[in-house]
Amino acid sequence: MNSLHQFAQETIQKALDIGAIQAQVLANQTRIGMARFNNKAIHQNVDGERPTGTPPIGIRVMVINKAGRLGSASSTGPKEMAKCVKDALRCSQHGPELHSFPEPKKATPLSGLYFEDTAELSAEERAECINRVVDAARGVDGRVSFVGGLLSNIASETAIANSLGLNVEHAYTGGHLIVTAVGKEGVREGSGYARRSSRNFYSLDLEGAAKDAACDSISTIGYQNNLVPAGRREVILKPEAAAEYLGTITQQALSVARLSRTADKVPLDKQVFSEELTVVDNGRDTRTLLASAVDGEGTPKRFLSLVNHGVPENRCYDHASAKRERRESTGHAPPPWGEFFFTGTGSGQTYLPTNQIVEPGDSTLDEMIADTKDGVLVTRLRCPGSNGHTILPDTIRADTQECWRIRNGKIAGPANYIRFTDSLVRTLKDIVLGDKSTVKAVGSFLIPAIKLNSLYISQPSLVMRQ
Amino acid sequence: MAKAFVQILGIVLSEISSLDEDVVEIGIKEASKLGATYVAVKLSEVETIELHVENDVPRMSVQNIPGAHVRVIVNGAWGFASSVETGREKLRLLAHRAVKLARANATVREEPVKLTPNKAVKARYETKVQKDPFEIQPKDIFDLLFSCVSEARGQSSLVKSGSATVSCQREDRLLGTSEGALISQKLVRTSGGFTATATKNGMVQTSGLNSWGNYATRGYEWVEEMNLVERARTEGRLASELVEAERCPEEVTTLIIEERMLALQIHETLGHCTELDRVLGREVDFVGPIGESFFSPRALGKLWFGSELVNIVADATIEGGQGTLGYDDEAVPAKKTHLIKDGIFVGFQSSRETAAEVGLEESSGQFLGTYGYDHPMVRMTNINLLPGDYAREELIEDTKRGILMNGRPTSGHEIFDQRRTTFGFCAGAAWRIENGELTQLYRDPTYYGVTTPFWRGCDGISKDNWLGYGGGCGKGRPGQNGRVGHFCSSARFRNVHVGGGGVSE
Repeated sequence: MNSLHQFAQETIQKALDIGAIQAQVLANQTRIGMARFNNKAIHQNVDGERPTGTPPIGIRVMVINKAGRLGSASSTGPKEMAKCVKDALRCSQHGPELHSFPEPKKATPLSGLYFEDTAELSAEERAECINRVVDAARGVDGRVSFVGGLLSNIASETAIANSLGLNVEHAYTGGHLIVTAVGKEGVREGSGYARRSSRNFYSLDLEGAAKDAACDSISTIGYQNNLVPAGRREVILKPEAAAEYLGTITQQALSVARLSRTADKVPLDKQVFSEELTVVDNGRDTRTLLASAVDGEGTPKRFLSLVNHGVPENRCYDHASAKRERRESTGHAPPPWGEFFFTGTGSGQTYLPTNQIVEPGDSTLDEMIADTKDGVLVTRLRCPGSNGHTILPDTIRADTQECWRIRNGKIAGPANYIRFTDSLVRTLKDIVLGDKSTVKAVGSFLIPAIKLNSLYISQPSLVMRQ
Repeated sequence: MAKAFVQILGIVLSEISSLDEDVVEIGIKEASKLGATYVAVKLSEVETIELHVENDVPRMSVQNIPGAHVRVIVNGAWGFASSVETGREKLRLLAHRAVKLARANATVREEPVKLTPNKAVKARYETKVQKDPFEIQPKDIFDLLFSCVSEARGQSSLVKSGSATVSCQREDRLLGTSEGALISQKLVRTSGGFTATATKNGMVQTSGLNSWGNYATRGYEWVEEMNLVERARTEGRLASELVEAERCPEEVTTLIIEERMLALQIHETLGHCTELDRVLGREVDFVGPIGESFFSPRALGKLWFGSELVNIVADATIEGGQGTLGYDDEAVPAKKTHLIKDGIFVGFQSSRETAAEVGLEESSGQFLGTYGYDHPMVRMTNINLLPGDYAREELIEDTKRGILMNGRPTSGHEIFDQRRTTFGFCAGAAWRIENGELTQLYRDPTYYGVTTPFWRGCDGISKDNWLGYGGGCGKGRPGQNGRVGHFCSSARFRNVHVGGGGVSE
């Protein structure tokens, strides 16, 4: 990190030397090892120094010129520093007015985010891990015909500094495994999926994930033949699906930093959701995968109540969005390190706010199933999103993958994928939350299973051969 | 080669031909010396300048993305290493890393990699540009952008905000392989667009031409041809009408889809389905288990995909397409490949490895990474629905009752299962067709379908307005935003489920 700090300071000095009155620099170094596999072939094995994020940023220079205008330029390579500084200054000739960057605030560092051995995980170890995953999945049942997925590790360091004295850093590691499996019995197929994420690669239960995916691929064999009729049903969302579902509203309607459209906002201080629902965002809680002491602008992360017993209480701001509403940043500037753990299939689970903690309820998953008369158990969602230009009073629409029919309190076999369309707000007014045993760290959430007591299933997804 | 500097858009940019053939050679030799039987080395630099106006606030930003990779086969397995640095020592290091990875992979791989043959050539390719976008003065571009915003907002007091963007990108690629290929490419991309947002009583509607979906491998003449100011007026009016329009009703009817929306239909329900890496299960961590896709190799030449009017090609050679280029990242020349011919599925999009795996004689030349440090993957280039015989107006006049949809909403939603057998899309605006005429305007239109019955219901394709969509496509891990184009016109489909979705407001 010392070299990154030094680099950031040199860049700031360079900007001041050639005419900026203030400068702010973000410098990021990331190394990703990633193997994507398909049975026992690794068809993509990457070992690269590459930035994450869209657009990818290795260095971002922001300057304020003598006329009080802001300019920015970015690059992936540290060797482009001098050019980046010049470009930022020239862009400031056409930039918006900004007279000063915010005064820095002290951020207490967090520990336990960086694991050396995760950073150093070798290609040989990744290959050996994949062998274990494939063998474990195949060992579950002879009908497991396909095992594929992704295994990766990351080490990322970021320094953020400015000419007003800001000088902070964030370093973390991560390990990630996705396993998908296909079970086959004659022409009938089933599919299974499991994923594990941790900042410490060696804490991942690789074989456990492989077995979970394989077991689901067997228990869903023949799902295509079991269509769930349209209509309102009880739907239990396992944590990954729950994160996709809830994220569609919290990450759009409560994040001004990401979306500034007023129509997307839910009203604050009114009972909007079920009293069961309490969500906080706390970047300093190291149980969340993306814990960090600061956000992408160097603002300290802190506890922020998003939804308190069904009442939305706060929204998330970065400096620019806060300034528009004459507020202070809540520490939610997009971080360049947020992408790694978001390797799901949905679009709803983006990454602001990044550290949402949903308070669990009292029911085990078994109890939630036992209390369900006519419903569906869902592992994950696909393509969750809202149709049209508003969240309220509009709808959420999504497909499910891997799901099971529940009848009279019992799992009654696999179900074909369902497509649902319903009001996000209405469905979150009547929910049951899973207990601590169901809680999982998924993307930007620490979240239990959630049961929606009434969700409108608009059509079966009809996944079949054509 | 020494770096020269030129003044472009008021910005000092490194001269684009700065990539060094010697560095490529070092990577190839080093990896070969370490035992690689195949080596591909790619260097690239991508420069992007974006000028943007949001209401009365201008913004200009510059992005420079250098990158390099070494991709090898050792002991029948792949290795890949990449960096944001492109110097000699870094390439040596990448060669060592790539070989090390390949050796590790070989311990797992059950079948060795096979590649289809490819003739190695030394070649140079450049985008044809009439007006270099990097030579246009920023002030001139900002004048255009402010005019767009002002004209769009001036159409109605309901139009509360507007934004406009021009983006210019140039990419220098240098690729060498151990087979003797050395390919230098200089690609230029330009885009322009704007949006107008109207609000009334809590309803928000945005209409426009999104700059992220409007790229072409052309110069600034592309922006000039768009007539952005006039279109900003039209879209400003449309946004203000949409906030007062009724929601599109639910019915099964005849649907005419115009080019900007139809491009998405092609992309999602044909483009991704025919990517051979996807068909072979190599995107499962991203898209989910596919099982046996309905586009399986066994279906080649047999699957009845659409009506006989439907002809769809993957064409990286067409002038101006966002996906147009000279060679892919395996040094395979750009090609035009039929995917659907007279309604029948006849071709895959492939790489040399995936083509060999299913017994094809050659790759379709679509193995591409977005930046130099990105791992290449099978990518759509320009996936185009070839024009039909109808005039656009004839398609409408020939329709007794139906709906016409166009436009891509800025926050619209699309949905499809992982095999793309079913889909649902949201368009920007819709109009009722009654007795061959467009009548009532509707907001938030949606439509749903099952892929093959939908395409089999196509009974008319226009020959007019054969336009190119040019945007991005998210795929792969680590995620990449690929450069994809779609040329198409308007097409008519019978018995489509339009509107609704289960819950009324």
